[in-house]
Amino acid sequence: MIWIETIANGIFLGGLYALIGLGLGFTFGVMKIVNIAQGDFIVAAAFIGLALAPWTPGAALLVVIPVAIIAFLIGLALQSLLINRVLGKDQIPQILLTFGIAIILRNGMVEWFGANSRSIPTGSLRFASFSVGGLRFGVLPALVLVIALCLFAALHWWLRHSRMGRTIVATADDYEVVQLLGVNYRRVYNIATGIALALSAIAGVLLGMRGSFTPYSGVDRLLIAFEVVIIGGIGSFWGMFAGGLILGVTQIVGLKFDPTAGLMYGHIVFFLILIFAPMGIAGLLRR
Amino acid sequence: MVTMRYRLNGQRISRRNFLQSAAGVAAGALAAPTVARADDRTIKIGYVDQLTGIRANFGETAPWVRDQIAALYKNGIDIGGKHYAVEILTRDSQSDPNRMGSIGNELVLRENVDLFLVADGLAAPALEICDQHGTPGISTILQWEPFYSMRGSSPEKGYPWTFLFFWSGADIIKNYIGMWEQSGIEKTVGTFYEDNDFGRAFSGGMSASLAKAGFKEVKGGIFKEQVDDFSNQVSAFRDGGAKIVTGLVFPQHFSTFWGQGKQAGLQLEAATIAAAFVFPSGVEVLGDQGAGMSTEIWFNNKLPFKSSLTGQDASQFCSTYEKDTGKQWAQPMGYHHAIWEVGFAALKASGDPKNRKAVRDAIANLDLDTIIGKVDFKNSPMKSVANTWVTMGQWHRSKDGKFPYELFVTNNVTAPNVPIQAPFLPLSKFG
Repeated sequence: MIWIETIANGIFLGGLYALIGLGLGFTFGVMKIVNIAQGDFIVAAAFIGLALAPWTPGAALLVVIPVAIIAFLIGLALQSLLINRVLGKDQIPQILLTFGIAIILRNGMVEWFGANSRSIPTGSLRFASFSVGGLRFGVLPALVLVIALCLFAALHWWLRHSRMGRTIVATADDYEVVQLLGVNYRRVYNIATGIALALSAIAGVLLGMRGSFTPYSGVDRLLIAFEVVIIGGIGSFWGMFAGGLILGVTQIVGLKFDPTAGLMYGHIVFFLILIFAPMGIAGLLRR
Repeated sequence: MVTMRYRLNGQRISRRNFLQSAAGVAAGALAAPTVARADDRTIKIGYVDQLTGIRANFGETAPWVRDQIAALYKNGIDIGGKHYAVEILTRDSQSDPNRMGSIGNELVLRENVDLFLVADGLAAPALEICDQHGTPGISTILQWEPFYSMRGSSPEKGYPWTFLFFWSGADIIKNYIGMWEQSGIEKTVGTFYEDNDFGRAFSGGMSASLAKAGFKEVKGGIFKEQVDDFSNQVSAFRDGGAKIVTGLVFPQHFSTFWGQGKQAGLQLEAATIAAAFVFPSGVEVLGDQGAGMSTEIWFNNKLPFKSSLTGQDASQFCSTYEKDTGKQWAQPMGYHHAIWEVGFAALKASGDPKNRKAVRDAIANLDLDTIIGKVDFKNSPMKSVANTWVTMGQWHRSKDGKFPYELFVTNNVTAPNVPIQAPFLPLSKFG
């Protein structure tokens, strides 16, 4: 019984991890851009969520909507004003650029908000629980998993069935060919980065509700995002979702065996996948 | 005589000083005693604190206290019939031991300070430089066990030039256990710790003391800083029947633990945590669930002690801070003030503040009543260390509502001289 509880908690955590990885995986899948500032954007979104939380009393989760919209606009601005300027065959300038943004963001947040840890208030939701078959689970972690699942499904559907979504997929396939069809790939990139940051922002707000964060939390989240993307396989949404769940369950089960080194088992799984299946789970299934 | 002035690193210095400090740096490289002598009518005091970085909350009140002291001595000080100007050089360690070492070098070798004050747990690299170069140094906000062990000394040996006043890690554990025994709560304790030096040391001491005192321990283990989930600890404590949780846990981790504990139906009577509840922010992160959290206490705004510099008592001191900054008082501010009290008392008692040996001996012979209570180097059984009190406190909701929570002394197991301010209550009494 205790194992069912442990694994369920791992799956709940995995849903959040998958969402943390989604923004990074999407950015890389579409633009071949590695956004090093992803982790710090997640934390920045949590701070925005904290600031806006008083505006949605009673329904704390609704705060993700304004935060996602703000993050989308920031993404548009970031891509059009900064990242588009350094696009090219060479990957190094954009890595350096996002690395610099990460440092500025992190120190800016310390300067602005201080180094204290914060949590986004969710009222009674934070402590609410439900029982299934004699086991008690938290409502909020379960909701986080459901939200993650919905966002993955929505993004998947939108990319296949909407005009803009299909343009993004086509641009991801070959940005040179889509230009022949009259697509401005830089505009497509703007929107893709907007979406990626909006997704990360939702992850950040949920992270800030589920636990707590400091301006320094970003680095750890970036590592999780990378691991989710690698375990899942680049370019596959459901692979990434599975990657998140695998990482979450491995960590929680590992922590149960060994509270000190439990996190290491997640890294070991990541390492094994990197060696034996570098294309991730999606790569294994495709073969 | 015309003094030529040059600019170096944005500071105006005279040509003479420039040549001297250049000589000092060169001599320092050869590990020779400092050659340079600063202006002999100015007392230079170096002050280091963790103003930014991951432990910045410990240093938050320090700049305000420093400004108060600087205002107090803006016209200088008379010692042994001579008038001296007071120059305070403040540096930020950024919570980084490497930076601490380079600041120590800068203040001791280049600025050639007469007294080195450091209110930072990672003071060791800078204190080592003081010891090597014969500069009197006073430190605080570091337990005295690591003060000795970090640089391989012992209470019998001590250090030649550096001093510490603070409490003992072993005293905290005695206080924790004493408080639980007095509370009558069932003796089953869940423990979990951050994976750092303090967490591991606390874990070892706590397990041994719990066993000796007849408590049952439910171990939640030592966890890494990157952990986002405490469901395993929660279910272990719940299934092991823990009524008390303790450990060394940072606020963000405790807040996650507490949320998951509520979700999973963990019912506790006491949450006594080191680190998380030292500051009001650690309690406020729990939202309306912060009342009843207990922790060690080493300063608060209701103590009967007075400052030897300003004559203010703890309550006036803290309320002035709250008025000036709009922020709530915090425990380190008592020590941020006391370190100046100790420093100036030693400078005055030395008779000659420019004589390093005299200042060093004055510190060693100091027995001073400060805003945090007695700081007694003179009668201390340990060399270089004055032990100060630490005891137990509990957070209550504020009555007057300016800040959400307030910390009270509830037990005084190892510090009977500290008056109790409120009775300890189990968590079930706070709704």
